[in-house]
Amino acid sequence: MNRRVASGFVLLGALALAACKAPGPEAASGPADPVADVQLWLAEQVFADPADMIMRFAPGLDPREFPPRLMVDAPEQYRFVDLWRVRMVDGRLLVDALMTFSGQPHVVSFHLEQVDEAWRVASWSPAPVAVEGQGRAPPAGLDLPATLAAATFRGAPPARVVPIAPSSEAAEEEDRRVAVRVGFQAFTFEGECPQARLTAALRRATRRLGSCHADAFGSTPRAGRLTFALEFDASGNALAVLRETTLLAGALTDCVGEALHAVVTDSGRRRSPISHCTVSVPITFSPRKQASP
Amino acid sequence: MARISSILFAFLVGCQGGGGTDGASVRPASAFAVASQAFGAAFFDAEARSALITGRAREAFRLPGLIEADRYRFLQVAELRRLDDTRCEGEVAFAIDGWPAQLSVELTRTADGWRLSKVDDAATQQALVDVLGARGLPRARTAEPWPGGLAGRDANGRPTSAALVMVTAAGFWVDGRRVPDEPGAIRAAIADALSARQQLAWVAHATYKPHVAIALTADAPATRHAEIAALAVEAGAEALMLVVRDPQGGPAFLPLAHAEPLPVGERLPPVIDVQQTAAGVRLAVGEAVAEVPPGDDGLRIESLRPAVASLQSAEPAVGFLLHPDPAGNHARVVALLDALRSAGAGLPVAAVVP
Repeated sequence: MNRRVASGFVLLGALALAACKAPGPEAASGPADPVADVQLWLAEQVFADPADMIMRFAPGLDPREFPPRLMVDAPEQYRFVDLWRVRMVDGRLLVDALMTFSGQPHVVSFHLEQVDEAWRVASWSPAPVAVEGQGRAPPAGLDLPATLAAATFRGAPPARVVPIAPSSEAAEEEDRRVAVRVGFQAFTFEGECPQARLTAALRRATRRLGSCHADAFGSTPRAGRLTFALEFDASGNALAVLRETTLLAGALTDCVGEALHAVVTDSGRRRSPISHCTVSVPITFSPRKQASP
Repeated sequence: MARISSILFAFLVGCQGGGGTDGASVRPASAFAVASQAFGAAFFDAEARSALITGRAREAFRLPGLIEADRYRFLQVAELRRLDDTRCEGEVAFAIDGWPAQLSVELTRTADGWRLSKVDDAATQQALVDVLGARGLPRARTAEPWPGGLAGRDANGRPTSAALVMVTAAGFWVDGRRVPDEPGAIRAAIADALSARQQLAWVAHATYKPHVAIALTADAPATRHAEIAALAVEAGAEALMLVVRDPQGGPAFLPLAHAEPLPVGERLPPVIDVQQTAAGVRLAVGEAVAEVPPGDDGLRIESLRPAVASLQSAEPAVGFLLHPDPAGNHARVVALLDALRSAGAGLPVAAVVP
């Protein structure tokens, strides 16, 4: 090779290198445009010799198990149509590819990760999803593979609530629902009971006890009586025990017991604790007279 | 010479086609790469950017002219979806002042290849700048760091656990998408955003409480956060938070409790009512009352701590119920919320619509 030809080689080589180093928007190559690379691979190389494709897959994955290869008997039955959807999440490229197997359109989902600076297939959905037509991808959503979704829910602040009084409409609605009058026969106290405080607390509970009755019997109120004993132990814990009832309804008994327990516990917590006290609470329910139409 | 030319031709095709087994096929740049370039390397280069955008979209793409280069960082093309053979749409993510955000885009395949043919409207682009501007999101000293941004996703493109409702003078956005300024539409958009996260939680076997973050600018009306909180609760939200800036300007939040009516007949535990007025702040629980006069920033914060402590000693409360001054603005609400968090030893604060 003479000197002139050699210098021509050098010049052409320099031009070629310059062309490679300054790609225009249409000429992105390699890792700069992994999506174009995936498109080309899906269009032309999915059925290449698995040994030649091993570098396209993350270590441990077998190219022969990539779904398109399992869906057809011969490469001619496979056709890549387009990428349906491409997403970048947590540094991974999530691809939903539209392709046909024996003419039937399907979407195959897989994701790529960068391994040794190369984008490699790192997982796929086991079953391609049959779709109708070859048109639009699904609208934007937040569906993600489970492995990427979990991080979304880490460190979320807890839900906190500040209780407020019910609206007047809610109170009126409840009054209409509750078709019984709630009353108390005389309380009986034993031990060191703060009688006035307990009496006031229990009388404030009538509305809630009426709701218990409405929950248990609905629109057919029943007359009757329940007697509960509220027992405060030495450490101030209250226990509501059913002593007798003329209304055999487990739901009513449970609800009334919980309501009484909540009322006296709250009363004890907000002021000095109550201890060494037992109070007998006879509760009466009598249906209200219906207004004549 | 012919031999040299053929070598050069093969070299050039190989460079542009890139690594395929079929050396004759030339690989076109993908829509993904074009979007990456338009929002990445070419973002502040008007000439390079213009080459990637069709004429109409060129005028509509105003964001590069609205922010300084040192405030902007390209994150990734979050998503592209096929519309038909020649069009795709999606979202491109970037950060402004460290806040992840995104714009919707559409790309069209032209004779010259893929080109950006549509971007979000000018109001959306302006809103992203406004919300991080001087009269944008208020700052809060007690705010907790938040990985989310202005589009319901973090910088890595993962959805945040909270659906994001952003409101500026120009309109409403839920998870970065424009929503009509109508309660029904906003409620439906929030419900959709929560439902998508519940589905995601189901896939991930995660426990999830529907959760909404509210981002408001400083001069928003003082009751706006409570109005949106009410819509969010109607849409299914169980947890709420106000998006604010931390003292350095980064993404942060203040938790906001939900004011939940008790069942009729249940006894209401003590709650401190906090009434914000032009004359200061009035705190009341039961019969006990404390007044805190206004300070330079609308609240004398050093007076708030002893006031809360004296009320708590009279009757321990389970939370604060905040009644904002209807004549005030969101910045004052955040300042009070910030101060209550500082003074209230972890008590939850809920806002109610006056």
